[in-house]
Amino acid sequence: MEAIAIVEALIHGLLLGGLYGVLTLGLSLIFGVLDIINLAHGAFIMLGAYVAYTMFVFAGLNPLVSMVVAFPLGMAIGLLLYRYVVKRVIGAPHLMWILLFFGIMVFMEQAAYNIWGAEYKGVPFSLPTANLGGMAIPYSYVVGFVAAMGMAFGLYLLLYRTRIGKAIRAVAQDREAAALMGINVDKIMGIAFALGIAMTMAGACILIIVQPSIYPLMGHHWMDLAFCVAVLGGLGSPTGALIGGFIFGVVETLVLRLGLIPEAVLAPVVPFVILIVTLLVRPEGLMGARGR
Amino acid sequence: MMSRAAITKTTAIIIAVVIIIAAVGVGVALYLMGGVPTAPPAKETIKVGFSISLSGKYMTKGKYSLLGIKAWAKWVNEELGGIYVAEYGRNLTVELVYYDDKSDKATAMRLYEKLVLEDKVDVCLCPYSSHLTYAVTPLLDSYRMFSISHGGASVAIFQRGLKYVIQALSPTTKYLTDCLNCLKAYLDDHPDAFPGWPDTKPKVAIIYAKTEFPMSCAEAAMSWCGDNGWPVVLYQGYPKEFTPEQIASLVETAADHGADVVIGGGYLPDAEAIVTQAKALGVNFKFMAFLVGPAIPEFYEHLGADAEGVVGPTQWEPGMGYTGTDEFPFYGMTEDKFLELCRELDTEVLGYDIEYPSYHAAEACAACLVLQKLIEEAGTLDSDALRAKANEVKMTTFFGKFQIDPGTGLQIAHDMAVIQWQGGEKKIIWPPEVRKAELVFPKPAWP
Repeated sequence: MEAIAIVEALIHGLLLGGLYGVLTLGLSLIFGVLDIINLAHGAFIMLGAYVAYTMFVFAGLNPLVSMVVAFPLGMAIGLLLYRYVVKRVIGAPHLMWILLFFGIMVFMEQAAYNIWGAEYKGVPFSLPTANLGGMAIPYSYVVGFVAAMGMAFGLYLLLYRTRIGKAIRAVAQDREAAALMGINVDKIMGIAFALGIAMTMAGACILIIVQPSIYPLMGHHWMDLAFCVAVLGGLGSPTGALIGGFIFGVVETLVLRLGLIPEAVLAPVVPFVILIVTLLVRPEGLMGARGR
Repeated sequence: MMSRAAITKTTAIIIAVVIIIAAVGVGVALYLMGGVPTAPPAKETIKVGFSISLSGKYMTKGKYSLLGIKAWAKWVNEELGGIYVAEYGRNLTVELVYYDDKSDKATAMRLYEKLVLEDKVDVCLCPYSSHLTYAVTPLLDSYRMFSISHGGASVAIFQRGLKYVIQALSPTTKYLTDCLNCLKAYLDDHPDAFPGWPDTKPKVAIIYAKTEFPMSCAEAAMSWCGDNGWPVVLYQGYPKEFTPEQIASLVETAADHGADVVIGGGYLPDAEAIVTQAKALGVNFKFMAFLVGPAIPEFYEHLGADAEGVVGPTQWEPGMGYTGTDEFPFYGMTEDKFLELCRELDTEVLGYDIEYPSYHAAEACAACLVLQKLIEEAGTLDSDALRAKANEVKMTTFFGKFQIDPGTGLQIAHDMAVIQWQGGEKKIIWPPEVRKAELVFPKPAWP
């Protein structure tokens, strides 16, 4: 394979990897603070995509602008969900929150069928492709990457430059100690949960720029991928989620473009191979804390 | 010891008591059964039973199928006064008995058992989709229930020795091959459009979702290419749920192998993804044809100008204008009548108004017209007689031609329509007798 093709594959992998990372941020953040895995993560990706579609239909907004709607809507949904539902399973046996989030996922998917119907939806948002020294660089990938990095930077500023962010990090580190320091742990967990949902839904608005089809069950596939990326980067670490996304994007692209697997139909194996290797070599993930 | 007279009297009393008890028992039994059995009432209706997906992932297509079925039933009952069945010497009206299968295989199977055993329907229509049709047809066959498939295109359904199930729509083997037939016919008429034609054939890349329906279509396309000497430079499946990169890698490989033609896909997201990735990679193929997606209006709504020139097969499009031939005479309602009935029933069935129904409504209505024809010709509702008549009948409806293979029940006469997006409109470019525009080749470059 020519060197230029490999460089092109690397660039594509990094650009897509940024998107994968942003789609995983919410999952990691929720686990890091609440110590639960949001099994309905894929359903919230689906919901974010439908928000973008609805904003397009009723207001003609493109998906990037729809992020401005999806984010606060996600915060509101997250806060309500935490206050009246999720809070009850904090500290409960794992089976409780597993069943809870599974039920939330099923409810959301069936609601989507009834609200938006079973047929595929989409938002027309076509961008040209640049030719950079013989390499095809799709503007859609670049725009998606820039938007994703913007979101990730915004999260960084929130977590490391604000009092609320400091409180979130404190609760993630040690809930009891944070409570002793006077932090309202319940309130912070609610905010963190809502933030995770909001990031996920806003990230979905970026997703549909590169993968246009929206349907009620679309979240299953992205849940699998986000989980693998989160484990790779370290469950509970937003930075790890981003790094994991980059690594996954590059590995996936190189494996496929270099023909390292005999058939494209085997491609879904790639994230799970990465998952297994990570669990064997470094179970806490690249950026996760040991012992977690 | 009792005297002879006493024994006789005792015996008589015992016999009398037994008779009385028996008579009371019979009377009670008759009362519980609803009276003394009399001759069955004269048959008034033909009960047509089916399950249909009114919820779940097939909901939209299921509702359109129901629209077509109801349009037929309304036409038969209100305008024809029923179907004449010689066995009963009179017209019998159509009674639809149906339930929501929720797009679920197990539910559909239970419902068909109910239809056969409890509702005692006379004939059946299969559910929408190859997936559900494949599941329920062995059950229907085991009950010797004559059934017509209106939404199950998979060839595999009919490769299991079913005796009582026939197919009204084109099988999967025709979806992509008719697209290739269209291209071949164009190149025969315009040899300058492809350098070296007919000695040099276009290179074909077949990339498809690895699920039953697309695989079946891809295999048929591969065979067609082999039969016609078109080199296949890439033949590869991808997972049902895919990432952008998984499609991009296949598109890139097809381009690296010099493919002129890219065909395959699976459903609407697949077609959109392949087009999106081909544009993202800046690759211009001369001919792109995909299953399902391009025939749906949403394809152009989602992709806009990127959809220009993309080709797709469809079972039917409004305006096809079939009129029948001597060999395949026209039967049943016209297309205009079908559209009129659909517009009358759209709010009731779909919940909203439509201008044109999707082809799912047309294929379901056509299946019912076939059923009507077979009942009229056979003069009975007996499954064996209907199946025997189905082997002989050749006809044309507004949906197209009908004829089955007597051995398998597969549809062998219906042509797929092929469409191409031209100037923002979906134009019928195949078959020649009903096309409204000519194929644009090569496909326009990306905007």
